[in-house]
Amino acid sequence: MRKGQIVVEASSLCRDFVLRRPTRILRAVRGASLRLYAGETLALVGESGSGKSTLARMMLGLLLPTRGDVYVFGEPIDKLSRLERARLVQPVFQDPYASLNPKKRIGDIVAMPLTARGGQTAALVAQRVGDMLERVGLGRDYAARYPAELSGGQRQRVAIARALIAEPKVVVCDEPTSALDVSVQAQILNLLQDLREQQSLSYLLVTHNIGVVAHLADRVAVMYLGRIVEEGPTQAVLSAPQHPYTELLLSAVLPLDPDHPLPQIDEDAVPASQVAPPSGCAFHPRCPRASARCQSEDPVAELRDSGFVACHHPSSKQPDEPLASVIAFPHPLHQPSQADATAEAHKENV
Amino acid sequence: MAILEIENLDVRIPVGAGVLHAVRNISLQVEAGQTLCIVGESGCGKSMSLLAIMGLLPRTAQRQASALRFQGTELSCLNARQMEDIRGRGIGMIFQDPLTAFNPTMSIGSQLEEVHMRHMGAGRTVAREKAISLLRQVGITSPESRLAQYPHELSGGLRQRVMIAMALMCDPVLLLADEPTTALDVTIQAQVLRLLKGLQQKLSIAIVFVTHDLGVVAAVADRIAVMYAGEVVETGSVRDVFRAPQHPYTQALFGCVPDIANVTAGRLGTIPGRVPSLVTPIQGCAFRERCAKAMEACAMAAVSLKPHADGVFSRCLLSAEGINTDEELTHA
Repeated sequence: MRKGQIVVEASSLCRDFVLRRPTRILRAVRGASLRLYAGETLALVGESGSGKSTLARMMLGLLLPTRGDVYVFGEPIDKLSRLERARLVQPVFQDPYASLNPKKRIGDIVAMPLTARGGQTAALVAQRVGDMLERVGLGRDYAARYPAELSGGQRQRVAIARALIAEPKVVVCDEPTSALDVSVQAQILNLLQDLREQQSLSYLLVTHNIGVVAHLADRVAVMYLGRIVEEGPTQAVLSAPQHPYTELLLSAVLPLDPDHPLPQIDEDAVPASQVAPPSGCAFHPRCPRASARCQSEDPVAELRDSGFVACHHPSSKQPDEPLASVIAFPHPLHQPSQADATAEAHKENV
Repeated sequence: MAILEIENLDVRIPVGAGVLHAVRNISLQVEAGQTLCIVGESGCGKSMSLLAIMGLLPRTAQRQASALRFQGTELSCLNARQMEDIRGRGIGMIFQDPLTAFNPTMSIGSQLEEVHMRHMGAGRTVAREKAISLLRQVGITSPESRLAQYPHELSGGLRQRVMIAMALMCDPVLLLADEPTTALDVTIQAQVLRLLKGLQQKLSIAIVFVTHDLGVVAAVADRIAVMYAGEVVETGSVRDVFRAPQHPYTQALFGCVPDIANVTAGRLGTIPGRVPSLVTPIQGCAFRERCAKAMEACAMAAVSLKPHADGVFSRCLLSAEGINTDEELTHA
């Protein structure tokens, strides 16, 4: 795997859900494209209902898109078998109380990706499980325990061990720390950071916590009502957001400073609807810069220095000095098409 | 005058193996118009302390306190009926999850009106007017039409606003809020906090606010009490504690929070080990096994809250003896 290679790509993904009584369609994801590069951490942020988890589930292959495609290392994800998919992409879920089978021992839970694949002796599997448990900071003796004996942080370590034991290339983390206390969150974030360095992983990190984004992510994609409205290097997006929604999101973050005034957000309490998204730019009813054009015309993603923004009136604020990591990942809209990328990947394999 | 005075509150809950000492000898005070934030991680006893004030502890729990006074009235002397009166009228409570706190089979309107009719003896028309005016105050547009809706028809942010309105239906002088914004998106959180602060200034209510989010504390608190293993380990004005935290636990807690202003930050600080069991009696300082600065003396005897500069109190031998030489502390 080399830097700059696309590991997972979502291309114009849409996902609808049918609601009953009365029958109507909830449009969770409405044409989102996303590229995850080798070795990078891409954060997907947005409010609840923005479609970030739905998008992540489609990129894991756990949910079929209504329209659009997901490619894993250039292969359409539906062409891969479950086993092949699981070898490349693994999940870590939000709630470590719900994501571990309470009737299974920790050792068996962590071994599952290996036993599912087969072809390894029980002794070798046990050896690798022990090694993995040590790497996530739990110790070999945890293999004999049950999830109920573990704290939330320890359970999340088990979930991470399970995700990483079969050495996937990509880990999709859906709110990996939001169920945890801050001190435990810090441990888990450090662990994710260490493992990323040891194993050259790519992370897709779904979160609503901007602090976690700032700490872990190389790039950020901001979602609003099923679309990605802004994408760019973390430093640039956090210091100079272009889209008014990103500005709103960042203005609501509470810093650890008692002298900082409480953010003033003048808004009607009515949330945007996924069932009937507003016309034109979906954000226009909440946008302080909305014009007549925003009500009728859907903005297309417009290239910015090292990311894009989908807005008719983006901010012109300049980011603080860019980081080295900005250069490491090519611009998504400047990339060769998926077909080219696939060809290149094959060349590399030869 | 202090609206709420708590002295030496203890809560013990019998569990299978023994007795869980959930709240250990805490003393707190809140003045009118002031916000006290109780901060700490899961299991530190912060929610139990609130429930103890309200008299809503689990049935098997034992509450002990040398004083538990609300507006000068000793709460532990009241019978169930009198306590019920205070709960609705004098003290309002906001829970973390508004979906489970409401009755799903009753409309918002009936639930709001019921509180007012039950506690203030008002008729339905008066109660309805009160409900409408409060819903408007908490920033809900067209409140008349909202009254007929059921809790599941509202978004999380709206439900939390309705919960705040409900807590205010009988003009309380004290609000107890248990993680009222934890389940909300950041934009809604900012709005709800602003709303609470605004109402507090207007009505001069005292608020006890339980949270684990230090950003929220910075935004709303006047005073802060940091809890660890059932004890208050540090307390003081929010400015002083944020500028120069005294207790090693408070310091470590600050080190754990990822910094938005600093994208290139390396590793986060962590607190090694785990919270001690509250079932077995704790010898010496409860934090000593996880503390980087622990000394032999820390294991000898329980540490009391010791006064520090600016009215900050810290339950640590180091801060009391003035031998804490941390750089960030010396210029405090």
